[in-house]
Amino acid sequence: MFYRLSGIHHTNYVSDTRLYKIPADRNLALFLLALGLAAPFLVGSLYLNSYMLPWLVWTAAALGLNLVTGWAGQLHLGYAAVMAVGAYSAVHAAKYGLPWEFALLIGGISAAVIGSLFAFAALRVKGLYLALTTLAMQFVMDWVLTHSPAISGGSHASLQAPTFALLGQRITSDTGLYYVAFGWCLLVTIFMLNLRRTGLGRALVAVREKDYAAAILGVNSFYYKIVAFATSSFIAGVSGAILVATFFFLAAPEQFSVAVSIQVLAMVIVGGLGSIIGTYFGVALILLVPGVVNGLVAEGAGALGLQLNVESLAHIPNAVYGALIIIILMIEPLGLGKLYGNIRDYLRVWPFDQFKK
Amino acid sequence: MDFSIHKGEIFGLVGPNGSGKTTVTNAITGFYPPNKGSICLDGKDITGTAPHKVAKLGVARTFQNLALFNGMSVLENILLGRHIHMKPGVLPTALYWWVARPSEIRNREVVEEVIEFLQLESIRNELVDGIPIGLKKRVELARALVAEPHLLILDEPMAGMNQEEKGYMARFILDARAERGISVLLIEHHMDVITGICDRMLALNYGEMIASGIPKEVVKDPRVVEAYIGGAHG
Repeated sequence: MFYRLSGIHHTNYVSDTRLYKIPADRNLALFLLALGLAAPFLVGSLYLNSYMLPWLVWTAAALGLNLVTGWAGQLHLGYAAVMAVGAYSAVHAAKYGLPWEFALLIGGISAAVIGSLFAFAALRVKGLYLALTTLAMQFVMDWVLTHSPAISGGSHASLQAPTFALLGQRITSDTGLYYVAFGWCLLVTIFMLNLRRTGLGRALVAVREKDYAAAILGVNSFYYKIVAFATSSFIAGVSGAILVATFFFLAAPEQFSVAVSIQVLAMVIVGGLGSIIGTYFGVALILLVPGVVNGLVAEGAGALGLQLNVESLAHIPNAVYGALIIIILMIEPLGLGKLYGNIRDYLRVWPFDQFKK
Repeated sequence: MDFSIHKGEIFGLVGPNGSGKTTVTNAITGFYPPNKGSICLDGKDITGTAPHKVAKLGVARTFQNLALFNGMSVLENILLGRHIHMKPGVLPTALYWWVARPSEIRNREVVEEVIEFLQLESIRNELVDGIPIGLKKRVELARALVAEPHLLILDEPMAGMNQEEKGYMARFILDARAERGISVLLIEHHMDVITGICDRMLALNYGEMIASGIPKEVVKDPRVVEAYIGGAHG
């Protein structure tokens, strides 16, 4: 009903390969895009910078992980380490005096080079063994960061990022920084959307599903695994650099620890492997829900006149948040993206659900 | 064993279970490099070449127990067959509208020709997971055909099919040869199909050639009968 499928016919291949084949979907996407553009005028600068901005940057990063885990099917537990490579190289390049455009590019490329090393592990081992190998590489990176003062500015030290600037314009306002994050997230999203309809995306899925069948079609799984790791690492590197430049303002090893790697993987899994809209939802859940639940519990306790001690106030939100993840994955193991898909499929034929496929 | 397939020929390969038919195809397509001997394609030695390179040289195959990508639609599966004619990459994907789209559309046209040829129009956008096995076999044939191979290896394309589906499949294979001039290596257990459409055939038993030549004569060979249905005098 909402989607009005009747009368939608594609009469040429260009129109059949559109990103959104149903006008309702296209309008929704455009509406969300407009919301994103208008966000600085709609929400206060506190929300803009402490919720919207990290949400968008982490979404861009999680989309990169989704590329290698969701599309190419390679488990990756060292993603934060790759982000760290990008962040530190970019900050060092910017400190050296390079403009930020080049610094971001250097961050991305150096992350892609180091990240491709992970790929060589992926060529030898699969599944859980690969997960463990990438985890080991994360520990190596952590150790290198904390033990080489030349990179991190010393153990327990942090590296101040120079003021962010693009095209010679210093960007310091909340709105400006938000648009940087928004722009990067938009670019990554468009890339991922295109991945769905090109030979590259199909080749990655082929490698994930059946490598022998992929080989007989001429898909070199060796090559495509490296491409997947390099591309996702590039996205990770630039995302890490943007995160430091627009949100943290300084780089410190604990921002890219093992816990962060697992958190990004959780974002991708809760959101749905191979789902783009799901990644947005997954990041929102993992990143924003703890804060929201925190606020709700504190407010609820206040409204009910309950006297909760500090420990309960800290633990209840964590328990609720954990339970929420478990419940969502029990309802729909394929993640929030699939949950959205189910609702969409239902509405597409509502009220005639006998036509449901 | 020693055999050759001429250009534009449909060559049958039969033998009891475990006689080495699939091993032969795996050796040709590069999955199992042979310990001894050599394999030539269009006069070029391809012994021990990696499977994805063999595919680029113009060999396509279908698998005995289907190797379609279940998470993808029929159309995407067949488009993957065009992989060797495309140059997918990160930059074309990023610059989709300017770089990838013309090539995607061009290859889509080739794919649509084969979809029409194999009458798969109505299931184009279905997930492969949800279609019957007879159609899955046809989709796999389509995926092999769009690669425009010189040699097409069909590993039991009619296993589990009824008489009508078998008839369709046999016609598709004959038409494919007539229209595209490809050579076909056909592995089958249905003797009626082998005698019906193959130009020459080879019978294997325990990895040894036991008979080869014109199908109608080979199937009468006492050694073939012996290997297939056991000794008549037992």
